[in-house]
Amino acid sequence: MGWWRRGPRSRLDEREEMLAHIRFEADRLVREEGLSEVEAGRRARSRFGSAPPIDPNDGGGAGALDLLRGDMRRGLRKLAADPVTTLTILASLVVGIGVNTAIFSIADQALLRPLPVPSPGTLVQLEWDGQWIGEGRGWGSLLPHPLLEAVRDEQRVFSEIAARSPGEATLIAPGGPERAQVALVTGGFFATMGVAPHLGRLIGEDDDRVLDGHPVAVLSHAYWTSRFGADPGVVGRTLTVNGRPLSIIGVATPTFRGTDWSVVPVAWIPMAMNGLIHEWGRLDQPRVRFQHVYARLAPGVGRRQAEASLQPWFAGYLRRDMERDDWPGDLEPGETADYLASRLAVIPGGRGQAARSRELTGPVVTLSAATALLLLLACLNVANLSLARGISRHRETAVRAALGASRGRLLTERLVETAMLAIAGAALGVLAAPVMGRGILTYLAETGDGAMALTASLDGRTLVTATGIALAATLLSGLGPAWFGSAIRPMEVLRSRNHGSGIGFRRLLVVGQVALALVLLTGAGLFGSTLHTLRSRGPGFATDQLVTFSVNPVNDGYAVEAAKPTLEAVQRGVSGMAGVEAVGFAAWPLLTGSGWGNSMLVDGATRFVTDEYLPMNAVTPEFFDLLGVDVVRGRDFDSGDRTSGGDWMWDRVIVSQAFVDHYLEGVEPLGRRIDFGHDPSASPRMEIVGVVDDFAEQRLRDPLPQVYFPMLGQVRRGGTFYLRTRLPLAEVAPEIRARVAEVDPVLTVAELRTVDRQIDRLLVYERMLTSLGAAFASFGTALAMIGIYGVLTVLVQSRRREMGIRIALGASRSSAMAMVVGDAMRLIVLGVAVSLPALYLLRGLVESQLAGVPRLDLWSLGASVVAVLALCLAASAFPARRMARTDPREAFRVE
Amino acid sequence: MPTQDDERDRVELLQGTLDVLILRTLLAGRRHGQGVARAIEEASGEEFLIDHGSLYPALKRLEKRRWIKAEWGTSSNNRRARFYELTAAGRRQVEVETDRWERLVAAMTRVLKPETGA
Repeated sequence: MGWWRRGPRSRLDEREEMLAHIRFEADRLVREEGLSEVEAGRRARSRFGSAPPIDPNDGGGAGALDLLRGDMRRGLRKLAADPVTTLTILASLVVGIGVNTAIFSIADQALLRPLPVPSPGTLVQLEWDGQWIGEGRGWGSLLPHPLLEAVRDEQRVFSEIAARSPGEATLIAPGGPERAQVALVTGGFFATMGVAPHLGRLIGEDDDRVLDGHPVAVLSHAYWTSRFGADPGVVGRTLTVNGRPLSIIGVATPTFRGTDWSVVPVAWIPMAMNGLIHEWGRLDQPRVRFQHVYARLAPGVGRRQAEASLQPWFAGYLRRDMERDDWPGDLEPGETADYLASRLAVIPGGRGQAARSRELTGPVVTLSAATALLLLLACLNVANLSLARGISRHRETAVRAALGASRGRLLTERLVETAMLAIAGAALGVLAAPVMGRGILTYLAETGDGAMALTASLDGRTLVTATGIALAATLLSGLGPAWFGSAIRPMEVLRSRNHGSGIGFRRLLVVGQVALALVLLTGAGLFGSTLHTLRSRGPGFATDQLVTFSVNPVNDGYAVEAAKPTLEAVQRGVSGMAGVEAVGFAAWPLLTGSGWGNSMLVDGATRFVTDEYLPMNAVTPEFFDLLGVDVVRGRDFDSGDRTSGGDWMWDRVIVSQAFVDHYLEGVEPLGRRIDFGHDPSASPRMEIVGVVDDFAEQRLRDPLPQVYFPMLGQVRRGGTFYLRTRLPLAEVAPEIRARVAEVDPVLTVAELRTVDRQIDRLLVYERMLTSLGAAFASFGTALAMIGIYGVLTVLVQSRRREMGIRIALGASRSSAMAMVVGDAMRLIVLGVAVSLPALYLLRGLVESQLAGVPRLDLWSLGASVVAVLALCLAASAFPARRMARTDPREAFRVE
Repeated sequence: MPTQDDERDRVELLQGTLDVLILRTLLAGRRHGQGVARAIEEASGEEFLIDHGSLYPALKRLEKRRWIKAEWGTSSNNRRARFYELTAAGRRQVEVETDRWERLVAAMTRVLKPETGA
């Protein structure tokens, strides 16, 4: 490692030699002539005559590079001299920087980074800002298809405009059928995105003209590679989507993974084929919005400018829309006014749907905050340890200060040392980051059925950020110790042989560490208890021995009319299985976090419209019985209810107890009428025939008013089956597949799993936050323990003489221990006190994350405090015992 | 404030004699700068006062002439120091310089104290 020694001898080197000379001379003067250290140093220096202020690192004529080389060399020497401390510091930094880099990389991809398309800055998304009247299918900023066409045909502020709508479909590709994510796109989509084909061609305007007339598909590069073996002759081959053979016309570039990183489509299909994916096949309905609309700003047009020039036109569009025949005639005047006041917002679209996604924002922000805390803790630890090292070098520093080294020099030298550690820590942390990132992503990957576009690998942006994090860590952890380490009053240090300043600062650091550890621990406890509460409360019905799977005959090529008999045949087939007690099915799967919802018109004490969307579902008779949910009033559905209302109309409904509590308080629920809608002047047509106990339909949370309908004759969505069985999933799964295949081999069995597993998937964020929170908290607490151990060790060291005297005078060993432990106790209690306001803030953050459930109760807070106290006291045990074992004779001899 | 009175009446080193003193001192083995200065002071019975500041230009000069070489090492009390030792040319030079000095001393003595003779 001699690169910095090469070349002519530097002035720095000469100066260091002269300093050594002065030290030798000072030592001699002390030794032989009995001078005081300070006087000896002064005299030794004076013997150099008129030589300039002598410190090897004190600028003078030496170049900056020389200085840096010297500082680095000296730093390395000092780091190597104390490997345990150095390794502990490195480990703290590696974890702190590694985790932060990994989380940043994920947050960056999920929330910040633009789509991999040319000039993402000119890509915008359109958003309905105001009152919407009609249906919404999907999430995010949805617009109806006719609006897209109107903007495309009548507006010139955009050079390109297109829409997309994601959906799930049954695909048959080499390797067998599977459920996968696809995206419907209008003809201008790829042109708007600026994406080029990897192979063949992409969907263009000519592929999207005639409704249902363009059976073509474009594959994603990943799907082409995994399912078609990257076959260069794939163009012209067939991909069967929901039973319909589509001709593959091309493959997209590898970098393009759609506009939504959380759901990556395996194929893109022309919007004209909408009926293949969505139950609403038509595109000409202005009252159904389901598309995300993207556009490219025309050259020279700004986003706000485009938005401003759209509004007069949009007002005209709204007025025209109201004149259409299908405009609901029974709206309140206020609603109409609100509708007319709506604006068409032009929002940045360069980051795709991610920017609009609430789904992950919360967890990612929470994780970022936790990792930042962790880094702060690691920095405090590093500061503490380097301060400890600084104290052991105190006398050396004092001599150098006495010899004329400026404080700035000493400070820089320390910072260089810390920076070297931080750079090493950052490098190792960045190496470790992908591993940590993968761990976190395995959790996130469980949430969606589609592949996610997030990767654990790092890119330039992340590396730049990691560098920034390392820099921040250096300043955070280095500045304090360097400042205190260089604030030396040489006379005092050399004369009194004490351990100088910095011990107060170290105590302060320990207080900070305890506080942060407690915050992390309490946070982890909060997540943990939330998870526990959610799990133990459960969905309101017994989930053990409950297995679920989905079958969608329509997607497998059946006519809508034939779907229901097919599902019933499946139900009969599965009921006959050995060990299966009961089977039923619902239109929507339970406990997926989403589902069907609508506002309801209710004939309560008065007639009103619910202000919220209520979760709803259609179920078979005895479905509640199967789940184990009691019908508390009235009756369950029976086979007569299924058909009595006709194919697309219900006339009997069952509501949940919470519905009665919320909306029908004080009136008899049975026989009351309700209906869909938002028109209070209409007459509700459906009769409540029963009330069921509360249970979780979509999410595990406080009971919501819920509405249930009987299964109708036409089943467009297919069915999600539930069966209660004593057998393990591994045993029933092949049997279920066999029974479904007996009905028709073409049917695809999807989402076959236990309901417990379904709940795991539903609770993925809570589980992730709990696991990571626990890991962070353990690490943070360990760091705090190291900090306390370190600071007490130094304290014990500095009080040995005092202790020796005390013990010689008859003080008991236990009182010696009590002294040290009492010292630790003060720091810990102070740390706890400091963290309480932070915990108050934390509570708000966590409670916003985990809707409705967690409370920062005194019990869990108390448990965290006790845990921190116990662990920190344990860390003080070693120094305390050493203190108690002080041998008076030895204590004097050492000094 | 301590004074330096005790150092005032020492013998001032003659111009050009430091080099030979350094070389002679190093004949006994390697030393660092302060060690060299101290050895000269001790050997002179504390008569010589070495200006420590001027020691290093001399060492540098000798190093440049390749009579001595230096490298960093550790002192007996475990401190880093730059140690000097004679090269082969340096050893020869000690003889040359000693010889020259003896001739100089003899000449000086003859001039200053003619009665002692030679």
